Amino acid sequence: MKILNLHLNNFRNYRETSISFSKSINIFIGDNAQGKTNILEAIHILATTKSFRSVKYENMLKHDENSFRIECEILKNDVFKKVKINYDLKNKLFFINDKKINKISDILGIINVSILCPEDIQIIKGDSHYRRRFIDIALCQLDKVYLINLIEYQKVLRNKNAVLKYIRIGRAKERELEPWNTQIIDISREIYSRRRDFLIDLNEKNKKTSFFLSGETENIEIKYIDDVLKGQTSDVEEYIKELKIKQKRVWGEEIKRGISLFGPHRDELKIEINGKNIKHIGSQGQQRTVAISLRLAEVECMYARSGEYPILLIDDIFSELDNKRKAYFMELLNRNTQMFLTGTRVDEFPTIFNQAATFKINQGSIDDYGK
Amino acid sequence: MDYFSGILGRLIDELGRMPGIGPKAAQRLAFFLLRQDAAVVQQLANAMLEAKAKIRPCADCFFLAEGERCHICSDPRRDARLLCVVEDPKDVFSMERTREYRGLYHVLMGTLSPLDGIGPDDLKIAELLKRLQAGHVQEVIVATNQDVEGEATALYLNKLIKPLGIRVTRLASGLPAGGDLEYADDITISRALGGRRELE
Ligand SMILES: Nc1ncnc2c1ncn2[C@@H]1O[C@H](COP(=O)(O)OP(=O)(O)O)[C@@H](O)[C@H]1O
Ligand SMILES: [Mg+2]
Ligand SMILES: [Zn+2]
Repeated sequence: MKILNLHLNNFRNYRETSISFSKSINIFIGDNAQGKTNILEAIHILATTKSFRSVKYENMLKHDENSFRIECEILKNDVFKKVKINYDLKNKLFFINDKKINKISDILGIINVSILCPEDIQIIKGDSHYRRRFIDIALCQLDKVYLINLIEYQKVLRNKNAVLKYIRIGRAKERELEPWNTQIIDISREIYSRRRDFLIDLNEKNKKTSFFLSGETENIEIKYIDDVLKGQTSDVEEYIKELKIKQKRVWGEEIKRGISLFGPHRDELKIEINGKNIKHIGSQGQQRTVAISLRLAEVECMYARSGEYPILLIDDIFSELDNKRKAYFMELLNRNTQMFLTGTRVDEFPTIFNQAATFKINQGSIDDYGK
Repeated sequence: MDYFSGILGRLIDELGRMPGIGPKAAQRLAFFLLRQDAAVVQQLANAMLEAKAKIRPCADCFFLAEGERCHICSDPRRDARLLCVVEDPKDVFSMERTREYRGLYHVLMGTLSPLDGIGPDDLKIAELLKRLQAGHVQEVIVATNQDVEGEATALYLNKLIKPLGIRVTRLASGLPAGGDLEYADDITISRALGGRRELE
């Protein structure tokens, strides 16, 4: 899968821009705040319907405009496809080959991406929602059933919370809770087993990528701490049994508080280095390396499951890597991966700059860099 | 839209309220009506007024009826031992189109949807239980949609109906509306394997 070109209209600081890409390496060079990350963001939206920066769509509208358009052409299995989004404050419409797409599940998986950026450090340091998001974005691109279950889970949860609040004020009866709790059990079964299996893959790949990156055999382990049995089991039936028991035990408390107190929406990942939580003991440098290693492990998982490497969006972090680590990225390249990298200077990209398509980004305009 | 004011503007506004009709389509319809003979437009207006005046919910099943009871409830050939529960009158039309089902219906007029403030008392559930207590029905087929609200409604009804000693089944409505096969297969298969509950 390759992205052949990109067209931006009133997106962030771009008014009207078209770029053609190389099928292997693309490098964007520019000072800070010129619009490099914005390009990666546009690609990420076409792939996943979401930005990787936590922002609302309206904030991505070019100032004083009220609609934006992002469009690209891809080549996938020898077939050209056009993927497009139109956003206009009211609607967010996706198109494939100019045909409107109604379900988000029909967009995800067409372009698979993985983003590596400085904010990835939050996977290590941030609160649990960063870690859930990390596995969710990868899984949603790979597994439509997971995506649909996740969407349904959120709907069920919101409805259950509404019932809890109605019960609290005496406007609903307790038996109205049960249909939602039953569905939570069905959906949690799917989410739990898929997250569990993905983490097994992720750990296996991470052993390789972390060795590549650090050259050391530190023992890094990513543990799935589900919110029901706290990682004490990997057996889905045990998990479900306990989930049912908990539902019975805490519903009184849930009604009092008006929210659902446990379930996959509160799952956690614990990342350990030699048996200790890296959040507490790792040095800054170590934490960065682990974050990158996890991303690369994710990339390898995506490859293992889909037979194709995702498109890599590498924002700023390339300059941080020493030459050996840069060499690892090149290793990926040899396997036919398309990459989009950003940086402030040409010399951050030794050896690869010459074989890459290079662009100079300056205040929302894109020019060939020239060599 | 600004070009159209006065009488024409009002007509376009009214037409534009209808589902699936955007501003452009509303304009097209308005121009179409203006081109017609007065008698044709009169016929359309009459049909709308008459439908509104005479069609109301069936006293038994809440499907559309021209009198007290709908044509299905009044048909002695229908099997009164079978009752199919649907969300909406238009679901009755889709079931009837298959020409396979020979029982009666019960239209809930919605689904459980706490987020929208819709609870059991906002649906025709009490009326359903009353019908069931009359004792003719031996099997209830719950054919609500496969989304989370439809599923919740089915689970809720099952809990209420089972104690009456009536069989409850969930109609596997196959493909989700508008779903493409590829994705429907994924999710259907996964549910079968993953043990998405049947109403037992
Ligand atoms: N909604 C917007 N409309 C116009 N300009 C924007 C918008 N959002 C961000 N920008 C501009 O984009 C630039 C930042 O772009 P970004 O791609 O993050 O920079 P960098 O080149 O450092 O990666 C800033 O100049 C900012 O003012
Ligand atoms: Mg940037
Ligand atoms: Zn009737």
